[in-house]
Amino acid sequence: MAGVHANFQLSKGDYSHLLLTQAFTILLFFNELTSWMLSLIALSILWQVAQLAKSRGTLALSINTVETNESSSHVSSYASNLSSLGRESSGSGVVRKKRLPLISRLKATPKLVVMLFALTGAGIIIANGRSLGLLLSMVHLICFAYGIKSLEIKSRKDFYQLILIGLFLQACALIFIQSLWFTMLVVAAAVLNFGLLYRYFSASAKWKLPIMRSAKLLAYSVPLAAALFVFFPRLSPFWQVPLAEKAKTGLSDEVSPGDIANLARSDELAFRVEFFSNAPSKGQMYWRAMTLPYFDGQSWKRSPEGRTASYLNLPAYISRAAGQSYQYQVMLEPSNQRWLYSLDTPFVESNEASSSLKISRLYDYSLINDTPINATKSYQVTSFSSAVRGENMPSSFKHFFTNIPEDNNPRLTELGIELAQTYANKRDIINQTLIHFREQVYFYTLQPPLLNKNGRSLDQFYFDTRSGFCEHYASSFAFLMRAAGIPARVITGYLGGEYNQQGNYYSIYQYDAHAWTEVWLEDEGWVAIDPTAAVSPDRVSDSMSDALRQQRVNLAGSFSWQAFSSVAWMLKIRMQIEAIDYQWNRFILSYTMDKQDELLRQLLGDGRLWKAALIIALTFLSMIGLLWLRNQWLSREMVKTVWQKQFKRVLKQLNLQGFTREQWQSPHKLVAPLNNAKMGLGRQYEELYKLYQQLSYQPMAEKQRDKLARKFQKSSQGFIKELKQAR
Amino acid sequence: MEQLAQRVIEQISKVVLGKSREVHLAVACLLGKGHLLIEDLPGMGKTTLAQVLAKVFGLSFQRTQFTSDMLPADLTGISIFDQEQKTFVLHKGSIFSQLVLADEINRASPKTQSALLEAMEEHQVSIDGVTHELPSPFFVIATQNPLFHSGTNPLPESQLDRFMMRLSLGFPSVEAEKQILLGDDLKTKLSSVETVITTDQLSAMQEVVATITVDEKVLNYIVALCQVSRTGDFSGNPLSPRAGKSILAAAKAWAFIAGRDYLVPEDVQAVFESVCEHRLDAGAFSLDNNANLSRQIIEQVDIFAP
Repeated sequence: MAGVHANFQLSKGDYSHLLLTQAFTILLFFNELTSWMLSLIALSILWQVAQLAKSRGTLALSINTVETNESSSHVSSYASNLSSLGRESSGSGVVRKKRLPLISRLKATPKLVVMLFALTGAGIIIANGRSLGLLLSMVHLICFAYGIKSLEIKSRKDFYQLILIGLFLQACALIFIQSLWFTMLVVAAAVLNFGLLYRYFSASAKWKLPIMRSAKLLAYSVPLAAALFVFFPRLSPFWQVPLAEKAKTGLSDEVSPGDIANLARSDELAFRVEFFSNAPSKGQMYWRAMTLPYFDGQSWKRSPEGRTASYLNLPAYISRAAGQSYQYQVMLEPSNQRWLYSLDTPFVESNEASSSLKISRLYDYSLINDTPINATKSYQVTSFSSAVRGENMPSSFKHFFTNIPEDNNPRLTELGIELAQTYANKRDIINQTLIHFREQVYFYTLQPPLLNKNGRSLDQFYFDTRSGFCEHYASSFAFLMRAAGIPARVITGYLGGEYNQQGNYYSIYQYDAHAWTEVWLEDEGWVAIDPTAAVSPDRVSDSMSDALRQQRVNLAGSFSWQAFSSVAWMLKIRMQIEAIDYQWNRFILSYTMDKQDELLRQLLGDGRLWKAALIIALTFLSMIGLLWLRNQWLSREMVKTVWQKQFKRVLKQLNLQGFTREQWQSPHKLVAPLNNAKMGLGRQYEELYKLYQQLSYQPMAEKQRDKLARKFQKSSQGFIKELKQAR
Repeated sequence: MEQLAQRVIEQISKVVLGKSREVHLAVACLLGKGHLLIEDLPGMGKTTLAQVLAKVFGLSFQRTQFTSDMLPADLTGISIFDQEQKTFVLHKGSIFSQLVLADEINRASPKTQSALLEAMEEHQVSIDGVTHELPSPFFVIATQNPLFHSGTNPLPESQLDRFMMRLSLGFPSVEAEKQILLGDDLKTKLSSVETVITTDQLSAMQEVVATITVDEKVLNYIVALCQVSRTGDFSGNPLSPRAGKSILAAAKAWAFIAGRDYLVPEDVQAVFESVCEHRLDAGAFSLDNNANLSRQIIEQVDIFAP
């Protein structure tokens, strides 16, 4: 059975390396694979480890019995391995210098076991296929194939396949996670994989050398990879890998009391912002995500249930840009939502729709993308701090923005009507309410008591429990304003951010989520009011109080870096790590088709496509050129020493044929006997020796020496050949 | 310039028949700025070789027959009082020529020998306290009879060392001897020899010889050869650094004649015996060819990996 593939064997070290690479690569898909599949693959690998551990005993047995028991298929396969090894090393160009005692061949896995594995795996994939979707099913399939292929390595082909599948899988892993740290893991896996190949072809039993060599090899490829990264055309979306549908994170498009508290438990990164101009103070950084103008009696929503409100399609009102302008770039983390974040009144210049986002600005000045954000993306915005927005709002809209359901939170409604009667000036109504929040006993807490869901929850909060956080205050404030006849809406987004000094950017985490309100005043348009600020200035102020931070951190549960923010050096390390991650996102991950296009335009001007192609071609050529030069150099180094050995070979051959000389005698002595014995060879030999003398003793330029050395090598080979033929 | 050397050798070979190797060595010795000692039985052509060398190189030539009653002044010259001018006038001896043939040097007294050898080393002589420069180039070709011949004073080791080479011409081959027998007499032969080279050209050639490149491997080989002579197993006199220098200079000249501008170990081997045998053997058992000491040394050193 082993006859066909007999000339292939892996040493024990090769096998362990292979299994390690497999395990490592599969672990890259830890999040993607179902636990069933993971355990099945783990079982397969463990099986092989067990086989490997047993294999030494098997080998010893086969050596003992190799003479006596030829009928045992295992033994005969080993014997043919032995004989074929000799054949292989002398016949083919590839010489494997394996130490014989180490050569082992795992006992072939019983077909039944392989079958069992295969069927189980297929069953798992079929069973989960529907819920996994196409991409994940395929990933399962190939991971599974990779995991069990090693059960039946019969020939070198199988071994190569395993390495190639490993490479493919390592590339696939980047579909799901692209962070810097994960990429490093993937590179490590690739190094391990290439190391396996190197190890197979080298005699080394050590771990360090193959890995170092393959790392070096990968390092060589970095320039080419960099050039390809910059210049190789990005594929159009049609060709992109379909991404799995993922859970949305961040803000939802409705706010009912309690939502943001959940968000506040998360220390995930929401987005990052780099300011090109001065940054506003943290207390002024209200990152608007969306406005919620519709109140259904329980929660604030973007639009009534079940239908898309027509106003969502309205163009933004003309507004007068005024006040300080801020230019900044927002780098989004994937949220699988369409919201984009901006300060105050954003302007996204039309020609700047250069990022792969298709941004539109809604009637309420919020920005939205046409598809959910499923990868790290970035966009640039200019915001004006005190632009006047919607000062000429039609009365129908005023009605819409003061609309509250009937028989809902009666006490607040009543209070609103009362306020409207008491104060003629709408500013006074707002101020009174804020003063109320500030002067009465209200608590800001992330763990408020639960409210009823009976259409009285705002009443309950405002008059009874009096403790809550931003969305409670925003909701009840907006409701009260509407009751008092002032157009109002709830805004959700994020407030503040953490400044990273190393990277000069702000990180906004999910726990920075915030809700506030906007009210519409005659001549002033929409004005942002944050009732939470009246209750808990800390929440808004530049320096978040430690107590509050601690409270959040405690809420975040599980271990997180944030918990150590109070330790200075830990904070510094975290900031540094995040800054690196930020640069990775900024320069690597957000280098999209559009950015590439822009860069190429800047670098190359028009006709950039063929120029890019030219650059890639040039890079390729220069890489090949460099490799060629390196090889030349290496072979030159070889030639430098080889000609001496070559001449010794000539002398040895002559010696074999009876043309002997003493050590002290000049090889020139052999010319005469050669001339006597063999036609023409003496002359040839004399020439050869003259060349040798020149190489040895004549001072000359490197180049000339190389040329001579090459000539010497050629003619010495020719001479040996003729000498052999003349015999 | 190598052709010039070849032409010189051609001319010499017209007279000194069948002794190509010795002729080459003699020319090499002159090109290497060394003095030559020719040792052989009488009538073997020692003097002929010296004469033809002088003729070919176009050097001023004086032959001095050394005898046991010869005084140093006979060689160097003597101051004689000139009656008319009332001063001592120096009458220069035979040493004031570019090529001095010191025939049968080992028949002279040690005192006279020393006078010659001093001149050879210093390229100058002192007469009555006045130092006189010798002409340049300055060669001494000395001949001597084998030491077992009667009436010889052996040269001491220190003085043998001053000669770069010692040559023995040896008997001619049958062919060569027949030609000698049938050929013209020496005088006619000598007159047929052309002077193919000027003194300037000779100096230029000597310069070129000095600049021939020596690879470190060859240097190692030379040093290794010298080292062997200094080990305890070796029965001859050890080779001095001056001997090493002589080997190098002679080998360079040999390479030059062969038309190369670099040295190979074969050059060293070619000149080694001539340069070293008289230093190793110190004359005591000269011509005892059974004990070829330089050969013993060469055979102990690997030509490739000294």
